[in-house]
Amino acid sequence: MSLKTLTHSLFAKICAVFLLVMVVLSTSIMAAMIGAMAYFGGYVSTKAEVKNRAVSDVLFDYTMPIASRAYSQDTVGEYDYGPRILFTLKNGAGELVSGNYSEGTLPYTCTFSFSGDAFATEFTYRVVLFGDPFQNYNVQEARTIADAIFDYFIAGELPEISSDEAFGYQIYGEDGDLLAESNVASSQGMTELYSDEYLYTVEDNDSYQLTLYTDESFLEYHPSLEFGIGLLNVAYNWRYSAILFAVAGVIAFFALLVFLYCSAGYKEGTEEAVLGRVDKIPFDLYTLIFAGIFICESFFLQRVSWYVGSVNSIICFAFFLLVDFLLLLSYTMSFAVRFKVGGVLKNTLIYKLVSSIWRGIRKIALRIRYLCIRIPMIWKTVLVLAAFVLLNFYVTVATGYRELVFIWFLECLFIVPAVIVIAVSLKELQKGGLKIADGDLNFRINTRHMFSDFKDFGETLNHISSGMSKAVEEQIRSERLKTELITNVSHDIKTPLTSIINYVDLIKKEEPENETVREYIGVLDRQSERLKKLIEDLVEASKASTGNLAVDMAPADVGVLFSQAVGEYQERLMKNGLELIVSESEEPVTILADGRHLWRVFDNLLNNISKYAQPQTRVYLSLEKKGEEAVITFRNISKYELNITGDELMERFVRGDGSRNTEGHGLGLSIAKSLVALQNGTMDLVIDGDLFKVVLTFHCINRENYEETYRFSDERGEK
Amino acid sequence: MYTILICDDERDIVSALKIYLQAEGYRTLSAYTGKEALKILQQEEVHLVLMDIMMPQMDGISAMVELRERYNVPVILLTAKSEDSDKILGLNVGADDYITKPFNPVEVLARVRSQLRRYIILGGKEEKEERFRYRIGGIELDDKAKEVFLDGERINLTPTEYEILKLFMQHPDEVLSPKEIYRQVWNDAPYGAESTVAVHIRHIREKIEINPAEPRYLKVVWAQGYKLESGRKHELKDIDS
Repeated sequence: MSLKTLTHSLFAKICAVFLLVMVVLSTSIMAAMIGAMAYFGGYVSTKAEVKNRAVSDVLFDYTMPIASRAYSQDTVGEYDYGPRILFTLKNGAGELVSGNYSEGTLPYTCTFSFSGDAFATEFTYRVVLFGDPFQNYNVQEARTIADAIFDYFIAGELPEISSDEAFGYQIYGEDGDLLAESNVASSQGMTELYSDEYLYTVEDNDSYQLTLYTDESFLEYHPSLEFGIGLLNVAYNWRYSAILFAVAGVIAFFALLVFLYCSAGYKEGTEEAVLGRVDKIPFDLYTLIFAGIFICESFFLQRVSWYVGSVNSIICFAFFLLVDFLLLLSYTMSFAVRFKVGGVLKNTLIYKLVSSIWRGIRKIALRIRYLCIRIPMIWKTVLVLAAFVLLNFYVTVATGYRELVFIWFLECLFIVPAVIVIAVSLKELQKGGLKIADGDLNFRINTRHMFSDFKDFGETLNHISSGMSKAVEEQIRSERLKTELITNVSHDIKTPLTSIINYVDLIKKEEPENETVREYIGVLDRQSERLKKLIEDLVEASKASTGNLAVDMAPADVGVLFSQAVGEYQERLMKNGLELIVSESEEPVTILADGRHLWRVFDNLLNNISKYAQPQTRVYLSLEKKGEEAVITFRNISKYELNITGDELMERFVRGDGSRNTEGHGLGLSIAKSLVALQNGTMDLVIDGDLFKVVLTFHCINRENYEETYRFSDERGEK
Repeated sequence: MYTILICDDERDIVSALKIYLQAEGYRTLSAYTGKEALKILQQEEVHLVLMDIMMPQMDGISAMVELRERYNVPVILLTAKSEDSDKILGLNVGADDYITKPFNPVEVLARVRSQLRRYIILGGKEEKEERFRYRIGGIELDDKAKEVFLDGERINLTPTEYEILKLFMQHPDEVLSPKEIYRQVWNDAPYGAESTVAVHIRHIREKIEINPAEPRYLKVVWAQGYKLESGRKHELKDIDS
């Protein structure tokens, strides 16, 4: 099985896609294994250590709440958070701050280091200042006093206010407990002067280390962790093979991808890549559809809350991954097909839009161009000139100089007439040139009103046309003279010939007794008849070859002509021992020809055949329709040896037999060829040994169509 | 005895024609220019004129024009010009027939006979419109007697030839294709039998035409079919072409 049968087979492609999906799935599983192993240190540690790391990963979730409680010296029970968790909290110096764990009993640990700042406690105090309402304290002074009192309180020195003083204070804790007071009871009649809240933060820059310990019960409490550890065990066992498989998977992935991209577009029975139904969608629209799908999907995925450990979400994620992968694959494969076939950019909506706009612009431009060409030259000139003059006027007025308006006026006075005169002269010359080109050689350009160079040029054109008309006239005259000469000479020959023929006939009637005389008279009779025929043909040959012959082209039915030819010639051929076999085409063949001239061609050819064909042979006359051509063939076996080519034989006065003692004069084929050419056909002569073949070729016409157009043009002609 | 005027500037031709015509029992008169011919016509009773076109002093065409102003006599033109335009011109100015030089004496005699018969025997006859009688030029077809006459002389046709000729007489000046003729005469579908028609028509032509190569009546329209020309539309048609 060659590669081609593989790339062209749909089954192979489906298999490749299936394999690709499998490879992607297995490779991503392998990659996940490798990743997990790398994360949990599977390549550098033992299985137990990996397990420990995995457990401590989950255990880490418990560190924050336990650290908080341990720091604030709360008692933490073993089962406060579900599974059995013990802990030790040590400060920066390594001293145990708190803990319920004694060494060496629990297998899984997790360590969490933190700074004391993280748990720094804040206290809020309220300081109330009392004083004699009749003594005037302002608020500023009261605040200063309160601040001072709070500072002392924080420092641990409670200031004693002597009873002589006119003020006292109270300090309350967070819960509203009275923590300290002075000189309040003794100073009766004092009122609350000022009250403010003070914040105090206890700073702790020490670092702490919390270590959690747990046992197998933790695993029981976290079933997903147990499951994960199971997977990790498998991954650990496979950790080296996974790398191998992953590498193989990546290679297989790229190989399959390359295969799919290469085979995209080929089908069974096609040589070239073919666009499928999907590939015909404009590329930008196609891209947009895929982008839309991905955007919708990402929106959907954002709405879904993911729980990483859950099997369901893994399956869901895998599903989406697979779908996305397949979508991407089909997109890129379609791109590959488009790239192969070509015209990726052309089959885009944007390109089509742009090109149709471009076409529209082009069309309009062509219209304008068409219009411009059709506007007579003088009008064009006048339009441009008017625009130019008006623009000049506008500019001069805009500049505001009066002198410029005067210049503008001068410009109008001189330039405008000059330009118009030039345009008119050019128009005249153009007209004359066109006339000469059209063959109207009698046309003369009127140069009377032209100036210098234009006049010269016009006269040169006139010279050309008069020279040409002279040459043409000369040629026509010489052609006509030639034909006329032949015609006139033939007329002059005919009159004495008439006498000769008649008197020969009269002598024949006298029935001379002398045998020799009778024989001589026979020669005279034969030769005078031959001379008669020669003269007639000579006139015809000269007319046909110079085209000096009226040709009345009309649809001619070749089949009818065949039957007429049979009617005219069959008996004569039979008398000469020739059998005429006619084969016509199935359908009627119509050509455009002059029936009389066409018959003259047939007449000459059949006459030749009756004279020069070998007796007791068959003569074939056949008609074939080859595409738009009607091919008429005459075939016969020559009586004489033909040492001559077909082309030579069609020359005037050339005869195949090489001697001139038989009837005929060698004009027949020449006349036939000229007549066929006059009717827009071709005549070829093939000589193959003794086989003599004449092939006439004419253009076929569709009779109905022709008559329709004919009638149409007739009607138009009448109008 | 009929008198025939021969007019040609070529004395040898005149005397040759004289010999032939006298041998047939006609009285002959000779003229060598158009003027002479007109003069003789004034003096003598002439039954037919044979006239050359190219003559000195007054050519055949102008002589024809003058002749036709006064005389009804049949005129056969002798011409060295074989161009169609010359023949048409001759017929249009009133000639009854033409013979191209160099001519065959037998053909001249046949045409003379034909013209005389039509002029003398048939010319005076009232044309009777009969249902079973068709007449075109010198051809007369009697469908009751199943007989055909050419210039008053009975000619022998085979039944098929008769039927074909009748079809043409019924459709004068119409081009009939071999297929159509076969369908009408044989009452059969013309499958490849058209050449039979062509052979029959050639036979008819040999019987009714003086020179079958240049038929006056039954003409071949090449690559179209055949046509019986009545001569009535002759002038109109030829001017058109």
